[in-house]
Parts: sequence; C-alpha cells; structure tokens
Amino acid sequence: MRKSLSIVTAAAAVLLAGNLAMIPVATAGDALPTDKECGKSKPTDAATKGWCTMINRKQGNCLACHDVVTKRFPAALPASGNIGPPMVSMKARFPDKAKLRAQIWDAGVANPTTSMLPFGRHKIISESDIDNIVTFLYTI
Amino acid sequence: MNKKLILMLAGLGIAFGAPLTASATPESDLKEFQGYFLKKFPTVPLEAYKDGVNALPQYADRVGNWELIMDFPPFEADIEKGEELWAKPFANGKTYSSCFQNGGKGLAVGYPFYDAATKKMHTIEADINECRVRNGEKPIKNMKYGEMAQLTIAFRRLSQGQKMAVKLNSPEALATYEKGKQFYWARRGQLNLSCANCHVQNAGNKIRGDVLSAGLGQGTGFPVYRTKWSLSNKPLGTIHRRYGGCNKQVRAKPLKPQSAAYTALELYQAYMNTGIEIKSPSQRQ
Ligand code: HEC
Ligand code: HEC
Repeated sequence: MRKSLSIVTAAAAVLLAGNLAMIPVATAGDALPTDKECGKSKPTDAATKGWCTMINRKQGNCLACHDVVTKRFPAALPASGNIGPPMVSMKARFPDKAKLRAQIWDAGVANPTTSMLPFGRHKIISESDIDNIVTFLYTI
Repeated sequence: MNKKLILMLAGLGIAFGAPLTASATPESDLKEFQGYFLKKFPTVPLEAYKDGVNALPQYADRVGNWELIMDFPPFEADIEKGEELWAKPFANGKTYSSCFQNGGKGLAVGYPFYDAATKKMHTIEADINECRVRNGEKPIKNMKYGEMAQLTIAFRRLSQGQKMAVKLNSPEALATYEKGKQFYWARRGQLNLSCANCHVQNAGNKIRGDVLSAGLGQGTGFPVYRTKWSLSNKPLGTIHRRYGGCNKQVRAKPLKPQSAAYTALELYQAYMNTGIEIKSPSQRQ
C-alpha cells in the first residue's frame, strides 16, 4: 500500500510538471508510433495520421514546443519543448472543436503576441492535416 | 490598452515591452531591454550574460558539461591559428596591426560603427578584409567560418574582458540602429517568428531539447565553437553565420554575411550588450 501510494504521488508530481509523457508505457503494443514507424506503417486512420503529422519535424513539429500528455506516448521519442502548455485532456478543455482547430490554424487570432506558428494561415501543413490533428487531440 | 492598439503593436512585431514608440531612444531601449532580462532572471547578474545560454538557471543541469569542456577547450587551436595569422606579415612586410589604431587594442568594444570619413558601417570582418586589400592581398571570401573567424577571434581578444560600448553618435548610426531593431522585432519566414519571439519572450524555455538563450549578451562570445557545427567539420562561426542559421530555422531566406541588414542587426545587438564583457571565443551546444 505504502509503496503504491508513493508511486501514485510520484506520478502526480510528474503530471504536475507536465512530464507524464516521459513515463514508460506499460503496454508497448499500445504505444503511438514514432516518426520512423509512422513512415513505415503509413497509418490510414485520421487520429494516427494526425499524431504522425504532429511529431514530424518538417510538418507540425508540435513537440518542439509542447509536451503531449498521453499514456500511449512512445518512450523512444526525444524530449519535448515547453514553450507552449502541455497538451492534456484536450476534449474536456476544448469542448468546441472549431476553437481547437482555429488555435492551430492561426494562434495569432486569440493571442497577437503568440509564439505559436500560424499552421493554416501560412500553409505550413494542409487543411486535412489540421483536421487529423484535431481528431487525434480529441483522443487524449 | 484597447484591443485595436494591441493589434497594431503586434502588427509591427512589437510586444513584451520594447515598443517602437516615437519617444523611444536607444538609451530608453537599452534600459528596457536589459531591465526585462534582469527582472525575468533575478539571479543572473548583467555580467553573466557573456556566457550565453550557460548563464540561465534553466540550463543549470547542463552547465557542468560545459564547464568540463572548458577544462580543455576545443577552440584552443583556433585561437593559436588566429594569433598566427594576425601576426604574419603580408607580402609587403606589414601586418594587420598596422591598419588599426593602437594595433587594434581595445577597439572591438566599439564595433560595429559608422565612420563619417568612409561614409559606411564597419564590422570587424569587413575591416580585416579592407586591411588585406589595402596591403595588396586578396580579401578572404568566406565570412562565416575558417580563417576569417580565426582572425576575428584574434582581433576581439585584443579587447578580451572589456565591456561593450558601441557609440551611436551620428544620424547614420542611429538610422542603422533603427533598421537593426526593426529586423529583431519583426516576424519573418513561413514560421512567422521574430528573433524576439524566441530570445526575448521565450528565453530560458526549451524548444525541443535546446534551451533558448537570452537576446541579452548574444554576440559577446563570438566567434563561437559550436558542437552542432562541428558535425559538418566547420565548428567555428561568425555572428553573421549564426544569424543565417536562425533565419533558416524559421524558413526565411538567410541573408549574406556582411549584408547591410545583418550589420544593422549586429549593431542593435551590440548596443543592447552595452556594459557586458567580450569573451571570445566561446563554446556552445
Ligand atoms: C514555436 C512554438 C509552438 C509550436 C511549434 C506549436 N505551438 Fe501550440 N502553442 C504555443 C504557445 C506559446 C501556446 C500558448 C498560447 C499562445 O501563446 O497562443 C500554444 C497553445 C496551443 C494550444 C492551446 C492550448 C491551451 O491549453 O490553451 C493548442 C491546442 C496548440 N498550441 C496546439 C498545437 C499544435 C497541434 C501544434 C503543431 C501542429 C503546435 N501547437 C505547435 C507554441 C507552439
Ligand atoms: C525558432 C526559434 C528561433 C528564432 C526565431 C531565432 N533563434 Fe536564435 N537561436 C535559436 C536556438 C535554438 C539557438 C541555440 C541555443 C541558444 O544559444 O539560444 C539560437 C542561437 C542564437 C545565437 C547564438 C547565441 C550564442 O551565444 O551562441 C544568436 C546570436 C541568435 N540565436 C540570434 C538570433 C537572431 C538575431 C534572430 C533573428 C534574426 C534569431 N536568433 C531567431 C532559436 C531561434
């Protein structure tokens, strides 16, 4: 009991630090693909496609600035940045899907001094890439 | 502040307390810029910024590695080569020292500067080449790395430990300063980021695995020896090489080293570094 409690406390502390993603996943089979695996397996479902766009450095490169808090985070992925807030409970925090999409399309509308890139407005990624990312974010 | 005004300021690329208001002078810019960082990092004194990212508390867990490297600095050979090149006579028997007042001693703290006699901006690299040409030698072509970087180290080390003190004492220097300031605060490239977005707003934050250095102090340590650049076997780089890299990162077209825009940017950064010591060369990630 005591031991499991301290594990829970440790996990909570890590969660607070926005670093849950660094905890090795229990069931490896469940983990999201790494960039390399994305290239090999060519996922067809929207959510996994969105994830693959997010982690690719030449596409979304979201992890340069954001941690993604999910138990399915692949252990092999390099450290994330902390310029933006960690992505956690996105569906609960963005009940309006359009708002979430708008944040990715052009973060400058909500915050003119943002350092997030205008992914849609500057055509950094495609419209369907953005849709896929929103689909993925709704799974975490 | 109403929303329209905020948007207008944002349109100019201005935020986080360095407004391009008509009343802003270089002196007030300087106070605001240095004040911003001294407040953001209260444990980091002004003089520490010469060490770049190593000065920031967010880098504390890696600074030990840097200190270890500094026990046997990888740039020793470049310092020696630079001194050798600096002392080596041209075909006419003269040396670089002959081109500079006082042999160049203590001059680096005032670079870049506008000179009324020649009617242009002077950088260290350009003056080194001008000295060569005046003495019948060919100018060095590569302004990013190699011999030019080594010679620049030799020149800046003649002012080692002295505090930056760039002067803006002509209308031309002031106009160039304003251009550099615009460049620093304007968003650019497909990724739409300004220098200030990364090095002011996000100084100390992590972009992927890199900790972003503060805009304050940038340049005082140049030329730098960079671990990343050593992967391509050209570990040493001038400040304009670095500017090109930071432009490319946001998918903007990098400009030529020694272009007027980069020289203006260097002037703005050098002026912001007023009072910070030169420490050349330096080692960076
Ligand atoms: C260069 C840095 C950077 C990159 C790259 C970046 N973001 Fe952001 N992001 C930010 C910042 C900073 C914020 C905080 C809000 C703001 O300033 O607009 C933010 C906020 C957000 C938010 C709102 C989160 C909240 O909790 O309110 C979402 C959603 C988001 N980003 C998604 C993404 C996605 C998806 C990508 C990749 C396709 C991405 N970001 C890439 C910097 C970045
Ligand atoms: C997308 C983020 C980003 C933008 C925008 C950016 N930089 Fe950088 N810059 C970096 C990173 C990352 C480094 C390497 C880590 C460090 O020292 O900050 C760096 C390093 C530097 C250095 C070297 C510091 C040293 O001590 O070695 C200088 C100088 C510099 N940047 C200037 C600029 C200027 C000037 C601009 C605008 C033209 C700019 N940067 C725009 C990310 C950026």
